[in-house]
Amino acid sequence: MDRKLRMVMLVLFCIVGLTLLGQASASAQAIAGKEIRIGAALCISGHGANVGKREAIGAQAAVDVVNAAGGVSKVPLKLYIEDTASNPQEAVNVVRKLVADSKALAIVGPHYSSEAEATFPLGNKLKIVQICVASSKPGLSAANRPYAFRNTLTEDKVAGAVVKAFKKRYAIKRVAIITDIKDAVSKSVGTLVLPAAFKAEGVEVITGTDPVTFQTNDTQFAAQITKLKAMNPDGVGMGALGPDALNIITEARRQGMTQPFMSTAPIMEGEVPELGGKAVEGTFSGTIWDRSDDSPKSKKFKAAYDKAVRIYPGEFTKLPDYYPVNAYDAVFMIVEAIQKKGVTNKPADLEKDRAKIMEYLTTLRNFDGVASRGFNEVGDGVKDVQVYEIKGGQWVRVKD
Amino acid sequence: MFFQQLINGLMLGSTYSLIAMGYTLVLGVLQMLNIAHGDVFMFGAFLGLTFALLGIPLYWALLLAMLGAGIISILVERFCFRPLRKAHFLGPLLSTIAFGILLQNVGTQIWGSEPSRYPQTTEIAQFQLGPILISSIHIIILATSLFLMVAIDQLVKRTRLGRAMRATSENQTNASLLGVDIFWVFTFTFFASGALAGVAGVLTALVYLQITPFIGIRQGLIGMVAMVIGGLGNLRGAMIGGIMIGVMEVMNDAYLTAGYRDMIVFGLFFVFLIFKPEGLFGATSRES
Amino acid sequence: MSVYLEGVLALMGINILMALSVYAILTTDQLSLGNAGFMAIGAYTSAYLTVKSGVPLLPAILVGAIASSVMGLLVSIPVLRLKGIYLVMATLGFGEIVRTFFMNFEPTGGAYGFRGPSGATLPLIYGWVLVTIFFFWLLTRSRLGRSLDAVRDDPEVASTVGLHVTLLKIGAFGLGAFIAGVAGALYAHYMFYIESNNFNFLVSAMAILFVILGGMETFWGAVVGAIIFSILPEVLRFMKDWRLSLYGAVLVSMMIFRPSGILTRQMIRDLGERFEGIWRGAGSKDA
Repeated sequence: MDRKLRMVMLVLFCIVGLTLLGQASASAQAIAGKEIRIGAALCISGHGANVGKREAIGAQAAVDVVNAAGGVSKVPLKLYIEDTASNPQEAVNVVRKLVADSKALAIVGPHYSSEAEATFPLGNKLKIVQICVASSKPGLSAANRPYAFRNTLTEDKVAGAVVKAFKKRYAIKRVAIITDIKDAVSKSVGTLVLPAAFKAEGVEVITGTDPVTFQTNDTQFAAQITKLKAMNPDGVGMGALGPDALNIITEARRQGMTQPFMSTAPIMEGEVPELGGKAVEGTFSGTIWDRSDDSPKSKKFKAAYDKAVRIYPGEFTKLPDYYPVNAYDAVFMIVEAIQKKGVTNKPADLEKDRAKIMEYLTTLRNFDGVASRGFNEVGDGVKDVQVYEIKGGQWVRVKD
Repeated sequence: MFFQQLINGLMLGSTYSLIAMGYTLVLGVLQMLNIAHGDVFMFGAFLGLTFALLGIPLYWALLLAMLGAGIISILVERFCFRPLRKAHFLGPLLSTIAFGILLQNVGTQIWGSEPSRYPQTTEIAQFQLGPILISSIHIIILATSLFLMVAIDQLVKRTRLGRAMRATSENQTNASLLGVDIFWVFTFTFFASGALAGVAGVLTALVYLQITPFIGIRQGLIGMVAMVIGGLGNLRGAMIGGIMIGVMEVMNDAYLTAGYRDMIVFGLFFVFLIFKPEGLFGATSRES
Repeated sequence: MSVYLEGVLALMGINILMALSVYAILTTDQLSLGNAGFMAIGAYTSAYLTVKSGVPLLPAILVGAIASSVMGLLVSIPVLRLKGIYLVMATLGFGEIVRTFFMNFEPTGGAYGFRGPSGATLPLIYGWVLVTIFFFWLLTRSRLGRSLDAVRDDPEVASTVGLHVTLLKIGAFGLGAFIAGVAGALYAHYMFYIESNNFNFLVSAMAILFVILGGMETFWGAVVGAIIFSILPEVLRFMKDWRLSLYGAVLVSMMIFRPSGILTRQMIRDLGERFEGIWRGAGSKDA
């Protein structure tokens, strides 16, 4: 190609690119009062693509329900979904985009703790609420008051209930712990949360301060299981994500271990009962919501979810788990804030409106959601814990 | 426990060996690293899964996955290597990195970002030999890996095609002057490399775990390390290098902590490159 | 300026620095696939200083960059005698070692990451970018710059002419590591949080791709490559979940259709002449 032509095209590309980015901010101002904008900063591509899409559907489901009832004071909600690509830099870009271009009143998301670690401080700078629907890394919301919220239960709250039920069912006196040391949440569960919870119940933690370790998504667990087996515990506690937990238990059965396993909420993701077969029967966990729940609110959510699936159809998004529920509740919480705090949705009031939403959520303690009661003093979710065990190929509620 | 861990290491190592051998084939013939190799491994695993879910029996699924992975590998050659023969010598390497990104994201679109699992179709028999537990899958892996290693080794050493490959790796210009169709050699080398990765993918998925579109990244890097330790361009070296790394990783996880694993592996990688670049068994590539 | 545009430009500035860090090393015909490791050292060192020791930002960035640079000098020595693929792999190994080191190193958070650094504004980032670009511009006009070209074009001739090739190669690593260290420090203080995963192999690879696709013959290529490929993922957002796949495909295509990159030395020379001509006014009529 002719050299001059190439240079011209190059310069044009840069100008066009930067203009497009700048233009987007300019055009968005005109619409006020026609719709109420809620942003969603979720993983639509990358490692979290499946989960992020489901969360987006959950949020959309809530938007659909609100709009079907006439919107908020006759004004419909609109959800602006942006892709964080499961990546903190993109998450930061996307939050900025939702603030500047879409002029969102509040943001649902992000998903990963590593994303939230970067976007929460930014949210405080830009003064916009983010309701993260998945991160449970300890201390993250506390470090980022006042605009950071996480509609999730931190693992220590789940662990207490599950450990109690686990000990009771299996008469556990000695427990061994195996933990992920790469994933922050799993690591804290395995090294801090579970040992403390077991000790509080008077159970001896054989592995002490030296649990058996692995890395997220490892391709083999034979080494770890051989080590665990040699310790001969009554039961095993895991700091792990669903897929790893599944492999741990499968390998354990293969090597002849019969002890029961337990963990906290993350292992309720990843189809552990469906894929684990007989090996995983009797495994304990706990969470805030499971698909098998059939309270009237859950049923309403599930129906709305089925319709909202249209935005990201496919086999990976068909069935909701508790993350989309958190997103669904998050939207309703924002809507309640808008109604109760007199948000005007006028462009001139944008910053004030965002602040009002933040103020409302800060003191929200008795929200009546599908699986959410509001937020505590540090911005983490208040929810009921339900203990579950795997029975007959699915998670079944353990009643006291 | 020690001997059990040794067996565990052998199993893990044999999948690394297959990947390392694939790297070595390409490096030997083209003096170039194919960073998308790990992602070909991933695609092989998923193809095998897709076929297995369609009800195709295991061995046929394995063969079809081999074929599929081999074809993907040929695509890598066509897009990343052939058009860049005249470019900067590291152009192909970078292009394969980009191709890897493409494969990972297309894989995510097709199979989702969450782990997929192989259906349990074959019965797994367990054998107890004293303190050691071996399952039939362990035996399948070792046997398949060994068979393939020997097959490729013999192919390169004894067949005409192998001679053509060796000639091309020595000197491409001379080889083509001598009548070797070097482009056919490239195609076949990549196919074989991909097929090996594909088998490794299926075997890994069968025994060890669930697969995601991102497993190729780490597996690919480890295969590279195995190749260096064994000796660049040396097929037998790659084989042994893979097993060694597998055993080392397992021993680390058993006696130390998983956090140190990558440091030890990449530390060794670095040390070998600086002090013993010809590896344990001698490199055969031009650039020693 | 919209907050969004601000963010895109900030990351773009950091990408420009990373690309230049690769370019610096490339001037002596060494390709480093491990600059994310230098970036990490700069990031963690500076972040630790500002957050835990209350050191002001600018000195912290400098110290971080120097720490990174020292590491670069140290690493360059054993790596000196490696050529081609071996060099690339050794630097890759180095980058991975640094990453896993920080994953385990508890004083800077380990797997939990490091929270708290802040203060990287757009002017600060672009201040560093401009200083670095100016430095390279001076370099190309200097005797040292010409020496570097000589080393790259033919190291054997260069050494007979008396250039200390070894020193140049080591120095290039030190320089590249310094720039990457600055990039890392700015990244940490822009993102408010860093963890070892932010400095993985892909980051190193992308930095190289910026340089190769932008044109490796001049430092402007690195700048242009970083600019274009920072904007590209944003512009491709309309592709939704196919965005990253398309990004990979575009990179592969560009390697095929324009393997020497966008800018070449000749182009820069022509541009420079034309610019000078316009500057001087009616004097030069032959453009």
